[in-house]
Amino acid sequence: MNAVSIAADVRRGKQLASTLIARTFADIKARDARYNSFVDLTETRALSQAQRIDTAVAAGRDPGPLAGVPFAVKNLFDVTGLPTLAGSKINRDLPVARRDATLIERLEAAGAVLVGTLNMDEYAYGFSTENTHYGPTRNPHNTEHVAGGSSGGSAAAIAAGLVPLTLGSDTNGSIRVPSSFCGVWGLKPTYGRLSRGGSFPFVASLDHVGPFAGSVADLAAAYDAMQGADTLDAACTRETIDAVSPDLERGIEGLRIAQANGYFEANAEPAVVAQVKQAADALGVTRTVEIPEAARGRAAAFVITASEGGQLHLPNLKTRAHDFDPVIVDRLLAGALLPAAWYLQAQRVRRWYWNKVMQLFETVDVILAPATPRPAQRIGQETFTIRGTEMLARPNAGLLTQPISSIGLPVIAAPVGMIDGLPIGMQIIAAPWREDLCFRVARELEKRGAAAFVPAKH
Amino acid sequence: MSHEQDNAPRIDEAWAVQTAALAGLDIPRARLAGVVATLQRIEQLARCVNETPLSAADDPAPVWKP
Repeated sequence: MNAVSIAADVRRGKQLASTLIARTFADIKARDARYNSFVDLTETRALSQAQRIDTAVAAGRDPGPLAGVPFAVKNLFDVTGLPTLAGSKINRDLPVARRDATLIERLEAAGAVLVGTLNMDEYAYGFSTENTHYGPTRNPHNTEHVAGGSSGGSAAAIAAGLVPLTLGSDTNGSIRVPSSFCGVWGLKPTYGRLSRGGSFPFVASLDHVGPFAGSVADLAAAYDAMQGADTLDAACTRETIDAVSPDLERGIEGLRIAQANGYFEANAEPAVVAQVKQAADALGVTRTVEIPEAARGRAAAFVITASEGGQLHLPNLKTRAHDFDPVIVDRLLAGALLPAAWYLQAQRVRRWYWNKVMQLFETVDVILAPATPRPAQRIGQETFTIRGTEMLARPNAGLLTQPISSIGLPVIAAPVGMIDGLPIGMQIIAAPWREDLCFRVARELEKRGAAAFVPAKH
Repeated sequence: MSHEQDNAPRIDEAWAVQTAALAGLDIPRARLAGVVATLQRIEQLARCVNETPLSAADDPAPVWKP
């Protein structure tokens, strides 16, 4: 069931939030062992919150636009009373969080109910959620395959139908890669749009947070409930709330939409490009554009990520390197050694690249591009091929997402099809602060049947 | 210098160990090969970054807002 319908039923008194939340926990306990998407359940607080909502409805008070909607968060968001693990063993030693992350507070203020925390790559440094400490999250469409990462639990929990709404983070593609691999909708908003307050950082220059959902309307409802400036996040200063739900049905008339070619074709399998073309055709899009210097934008993000990530964890790398996940520790150790000149040059290249892309946005409103080069690889698979070239699977799953987050553009990942039984996603990209355009295109694709969330069979 | 030599990694094990010492970091012996391989991959990407033709007017991306 989707979030908007749940909230409508709870608000009307047709469905008790407490019954629904109890059923959600029973379902997670019965089925999540197959997927390993959850790490912790927050049953006591969830049942209390659900009872508060039922009381409000019974008393005729407004329980909020997301009343009774169960949601879960990547375990890098602070949850009162839990250590913020961020997929690590090391963070088990941290004191428990004394306050919820800002986005959790905002969703709960809208009536949503937190039911648990979700698995991820350690410290968000990965695209596969093959976490050595907590086990791999399995793709609900084929449990032999990865769910993508680093927000793998967030995407898998939606794909498995365990919850209708989750939160994740995206530094280089960690919302869009698992959205693509699991066939769900995901939003990486403009850098600074949604607050990272109370979330465990990875790369301050590039970290974004955002929602996953099973429909565009659900994604929009969650996004609208979470917007607003926050003193806990230095990048989140925009006071304006640009609600997108009221304009979802506005259509795409007058929008200049194009399909990305060049780098975004060369680094994706032909079958993936064909799926994007099919979605573009459904919208009547015939134009193609090249996002200039995407490879340099991606390289800059790679260097910045390695350097900031390595530096952030340097104290623990010095004293307890053996406690990091072996899958990521080499990258953190290497990142801690990079010359300052490389890092600073990368930050200047980002600005240079941003200037070029902004010129492109003078002639186009929305760009469509593949989200991942190919569908999900098998768990444990070290390499994959793209157009005949073999490469490491884990870092290269983000080849097509990194050039976009490198300069903080808003993107919706749309589930546009299946290849050999596994989902594939498309990026709907707009200029900074124009999430509204991403949403209008996403909704139009959904209405025309060119993109749809298909829950995994179980 | 040939093109192949141009693209050859300049980072090696000795560089990694010496730079780690400067950072106060002791790379575990078992991890050294993986760290060097990672550094060499980053070096390839840094080359792409470092060859970008910037002018003095190209500011870094982050802007401090006091």
